[in-house]
Amino acid sequence: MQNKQIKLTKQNIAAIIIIVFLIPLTLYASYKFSDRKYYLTSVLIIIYSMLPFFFVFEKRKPQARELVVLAVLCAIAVASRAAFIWLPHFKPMMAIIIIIGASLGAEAGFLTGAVSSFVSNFIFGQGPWTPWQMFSFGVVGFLAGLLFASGIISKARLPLCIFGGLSVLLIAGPILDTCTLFTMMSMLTKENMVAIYISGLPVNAVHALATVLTLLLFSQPMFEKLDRIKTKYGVLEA
Amino acid sequence: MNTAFDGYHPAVNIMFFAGAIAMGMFFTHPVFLCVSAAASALYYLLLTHKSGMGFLFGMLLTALCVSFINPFLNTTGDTVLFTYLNARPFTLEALLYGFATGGMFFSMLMWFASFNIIMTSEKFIFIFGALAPALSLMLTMILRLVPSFKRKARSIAAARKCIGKAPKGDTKKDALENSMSILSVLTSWALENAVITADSMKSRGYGSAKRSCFAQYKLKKQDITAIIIMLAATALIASGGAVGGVGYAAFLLLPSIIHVKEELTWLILKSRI
Amino acid sequence: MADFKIENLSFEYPATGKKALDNVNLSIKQGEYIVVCGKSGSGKTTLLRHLKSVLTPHGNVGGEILLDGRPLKEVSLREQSSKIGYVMQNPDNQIVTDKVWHELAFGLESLGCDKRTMRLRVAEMASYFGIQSWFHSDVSSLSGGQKQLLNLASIMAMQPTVIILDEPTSQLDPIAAMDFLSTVRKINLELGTTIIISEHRLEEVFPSADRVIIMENGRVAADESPRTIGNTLMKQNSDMLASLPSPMKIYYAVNSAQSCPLTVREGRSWLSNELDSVKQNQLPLENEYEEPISPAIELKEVWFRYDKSSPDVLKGACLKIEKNTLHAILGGNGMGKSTMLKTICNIEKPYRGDVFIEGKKLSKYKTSELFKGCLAMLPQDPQSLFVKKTVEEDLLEMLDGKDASAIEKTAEICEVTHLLKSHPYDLSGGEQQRAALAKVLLCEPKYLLLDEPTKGIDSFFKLKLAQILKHLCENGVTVIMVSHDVEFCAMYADYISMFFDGSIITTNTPNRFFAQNSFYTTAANRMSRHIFENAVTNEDVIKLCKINK
Repeated sequence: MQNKQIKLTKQNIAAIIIIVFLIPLTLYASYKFSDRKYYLTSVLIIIYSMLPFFFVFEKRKPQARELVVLAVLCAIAVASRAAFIWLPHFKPMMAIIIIIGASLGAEAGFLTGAVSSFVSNFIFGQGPWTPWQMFSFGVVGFLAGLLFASGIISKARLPLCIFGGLSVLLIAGPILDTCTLFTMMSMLTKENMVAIYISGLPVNAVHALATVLTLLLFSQPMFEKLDRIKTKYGVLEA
Repeated sequence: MNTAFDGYHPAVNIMFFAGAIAMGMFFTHPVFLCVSAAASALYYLLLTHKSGMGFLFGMLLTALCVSFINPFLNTTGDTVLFTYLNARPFTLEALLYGFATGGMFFSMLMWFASFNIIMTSEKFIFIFGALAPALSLMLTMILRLVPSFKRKARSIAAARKCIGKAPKGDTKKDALENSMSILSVLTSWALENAVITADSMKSRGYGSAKRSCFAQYKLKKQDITAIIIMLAATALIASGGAVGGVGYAAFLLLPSIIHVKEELTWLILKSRI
Repeated sequence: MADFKIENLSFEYPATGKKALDNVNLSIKQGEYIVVCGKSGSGKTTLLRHLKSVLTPHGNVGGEILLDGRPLKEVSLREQSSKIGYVMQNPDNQIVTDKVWHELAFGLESLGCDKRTMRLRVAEMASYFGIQSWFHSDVSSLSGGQKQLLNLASIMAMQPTVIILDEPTSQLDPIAAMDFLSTVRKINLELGTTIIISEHRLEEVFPSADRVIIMENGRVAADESPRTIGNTLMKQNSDMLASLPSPMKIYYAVNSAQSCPLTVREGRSWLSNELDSVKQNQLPLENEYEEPISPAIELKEVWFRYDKSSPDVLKGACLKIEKNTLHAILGGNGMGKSTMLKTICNIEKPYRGDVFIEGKKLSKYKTSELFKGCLAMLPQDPQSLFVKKTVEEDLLEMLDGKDASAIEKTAEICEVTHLLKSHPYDLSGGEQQRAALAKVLLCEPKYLLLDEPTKGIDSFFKLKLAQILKHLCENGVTVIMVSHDVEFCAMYADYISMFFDGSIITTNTPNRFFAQNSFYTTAANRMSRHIFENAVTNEDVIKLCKINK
């Protein structure tokens, strides 16, 4: 166990170095060579910041059980929409990512978040939004892991719902709106920022509502199921 | 399909699209923008024939909207075309910037549309297989599970209905609770059975050695030619000026040319019969 | 080479204190075909899983397993992975990847095999198993039988010297099962691969087997050739006699001096030799089947298709079900039998024709009244019904706050009282089936629909299920079941309908129904039809044999 932690920090250092060098370099290049390459610059930065997670996961050589359980959870997150076909715009995926993060930890939360949104784009079509979606879902899963899996906040319904609602409204939603801003606007002005973020609000509010409702009704049974898997098969013990 | 550019090595596919999309976002010169927009639309139409027309025009319209909304939200520029709402200016410069953004937006979406046709999940998994074996394996597993989970969700819903567990009333609340139960049954079923999959993996030696990759794709002569052409074109682009424009066009038209050449070959072969 | 030698193997799951394996001694030679049988819970799976280290469950182990004289534990993971293949029950869950070609290559990829070898081996296997035509398919487009063949092929690609199969055909329909087992037989004969298989379909594997091992309470109760194993079981008065193939069962009940027949063919000649003169060649016939005048459920010219553009699944199906009977519907796989059940349940709606329940059109019923005290269906996969973390909570979900005493009663009927506190997924297949049935029965249905209720359960659980169904019929429930299981229907159904090409071809009593068929009938009937006219079940044949001796 201890061994693993040392290894993790080693890799984290490598990751930090990448970030420390690559991100400023990209920012500099973007400043130096071009006017307003917001989208390109930001996507590169997003990709750099996701790489360490994937890198650590690969290096760790995950066991068969861990890999299968993560794959199953991602697939559930992607397929969950099928149970709500009758309710347009009801997207339970974020809630499921939050539950996974809260139960299995920050790393699992990030991975399932990023990978699920990548896969769901195979169904709905990849686009300039793909890296942003991966990042936004990953980050929320990661935060859920940091706050709930570590026990900083209890995994009760109320805090989960508050976290879920806020993270969609304040983190995931704005990140995706920023993607829209960068792809649709020629220049960053106060007006167009306000316009984009405000026009994103209704969509984000609906998404937040779906997340809160799913967390309200589904989080506790899902925790029970994940706990059972953790103890019965000894996988993914955070 | 499996003809033309689609039949090239996935690495060539992804090199092209990464190049086209990244350069499309990097170059804002009007000529470059026009070349990218035209080349992307051409290739998309070659791939989809008539069925893609609807999407193409939809995107064109969206791009136009993007172009015209921009100047309303951005007032920089000296050449005022007209003013509105208490002398707020609508400038030519902002409109041009708007067109640039709209054009970029359009070509990016068109490239992605072709990308979604050419870059199947199988190719992705192949590319990732060497770089990130665990993630690539996870990806193929998810792609197998998603359709099976969707089917299972439907059969669970039917099974529950047959024991009187359909939503009780017509209220949204009942329906929502019912859907959550379906999700709950699905999750248990999926997680409990996952262990069998893990056993099956271990039983077939997963984790006993460094994974190798069953290569569905081989690097052929045509792939190498394509890579050389792309590199040469990139070199031309880097040299800048009018030559750069020609290089850019050559790069972006590559898949379209391959496509047309293939069609012609078949046409000639057929006419000989 | 792969010779297994098992010496004094004992095993105990943690925290149960009961020995799952008790002093097992066996030796298995290269190229043998070994059948392992026993009731569910007798330790078959536990034994098989001990033959491959990665699959061995955690617990206290005693004794030793040697592979070619080396302790199995010391044989590397890599070597075990390629040498020992293991096929499990459920065809779906064993598959890892999304494409057929990728699945075939999976094992070789894991071993880090180089590309040339991998291409060759995969090509070889695809050709040997005849899967070239679906080589590039998505796994999700395959049938259950194809999936299980794929599992076998992907193991064979690693060139194992022994294959262990744990009830590989329990989830398959009879035709796919025969296909699979004949492939296994082919591998054994043509490649000399050792086969260790646990199976319920003994009729199909006994003729191929060199040895049969009977497990009982974790012990080896018998280890003999299939032809002599019956003697030992007779001596021990074992329950396992009940699950022997029909010709053997009849043979041992009749007390013959000849040697034991294994197949229907041998059974026929045995029967011819056994009976010199036939005094009575038929049993008293059941009454001629008459259509009920006021049927409980009636399908009138029901037409159905899934899509406007897809072909018809039901083509004017007509069916009348009599009250308080067990009505079985037999027919091939994927023909639309289950769809017909779904139209009765109002899950799928016919585009022409109507379903009547107690003379009232189905569409006139409200969903709420239909499934409360009227209709209920047990789905093919009982796991589709489990929501909660104990069986009891799952049953409580059905009551909506009504009197909880109903649970006790239903649990007793379904014999799940001792399982109420367990997690549904900790139960065996047969137990899950009964727990799901209990849940369905809490709807207090007058009409109970069952979709393949005998799938994947052994003969002992089948007997229990039959008793439960009988009890229900006596208590005012009408049961309609769709099945492949000819033997079960012959034994327990009151009426049998044959479903083919979208409609019901014929309906009759079991005796008359099977007596008129020559292929689609029970093994006992096939074995005796050249002598007896209407002997359908084993009991019928035994009775007639005894009369004529």
